[in-house]
Amino acid sequence: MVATPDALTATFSALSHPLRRALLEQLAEGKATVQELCAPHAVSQPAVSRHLKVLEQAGLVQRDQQGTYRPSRLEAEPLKEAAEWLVSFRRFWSESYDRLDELLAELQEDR
Amino acid sequence: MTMHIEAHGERSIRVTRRFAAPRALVYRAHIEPELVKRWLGTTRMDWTRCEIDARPGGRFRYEWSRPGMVMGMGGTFIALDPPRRIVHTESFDEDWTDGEVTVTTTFHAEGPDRTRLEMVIDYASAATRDRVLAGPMKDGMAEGYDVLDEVLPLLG
Repeated sequence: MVATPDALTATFSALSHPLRRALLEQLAEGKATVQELCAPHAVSQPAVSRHLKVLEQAGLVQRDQQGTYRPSRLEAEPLKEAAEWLVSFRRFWSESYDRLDELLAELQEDR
Repeated sequence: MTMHIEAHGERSIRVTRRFAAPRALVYRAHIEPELVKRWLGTTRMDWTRCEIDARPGGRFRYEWSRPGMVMGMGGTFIALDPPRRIVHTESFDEDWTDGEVTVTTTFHAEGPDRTRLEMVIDYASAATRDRVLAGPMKDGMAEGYDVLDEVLPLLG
């Protein structure tokens, strides 16, 4: 329950495009340049750059500054916060109620 | 049984869940610490504090922890009408809902051993409510949920 709702909205909106999700999975394997990220996709380099920019703005990707070599790398924290948030509401209640089912059954056996 | 979450009025959400038990028992499971500790929370964390002073104006305090993290929440009872209704305020220590919410839990008897529980959570504003609802429910968000399942294992 750490992330603010606005930060979560940015994270989920960045995740809403299939190419951006594919890029994140590539970056989860390690740093990569735009050229390297382009290779497996039938998409132009400017298009990949645009999607990388969206991921950067959402704080999911950071770009290193090393002269002309500028690899991108995954920034995991927002993803973890988004996961925590989802766990904390829907899962919190649905898991809790599942356990309550079991408890109620047990209490009724004892009657 | 399935849990439903839906928008309710301008700034509330309603959670509905049915239980195969008499409503007096479902009610008790909400206010007796020894029972609450058996079901409320998450398997990823252990109970470290569960105090409930179940009377109007009485406070409750829940804490769970795991190595490196403590999650706490608490609030005040506004009204108790056993076994029909509990009204209380609550807030999580790490707050993302712009402050305290008011929660009205209603226990409907649908037969001797069937209870429909409705939990209506009133948020501070319609905007907050919409953000809470948006989480797991909107299209892009549902995809976000899927991708977390895919990506998180890669993060190690």
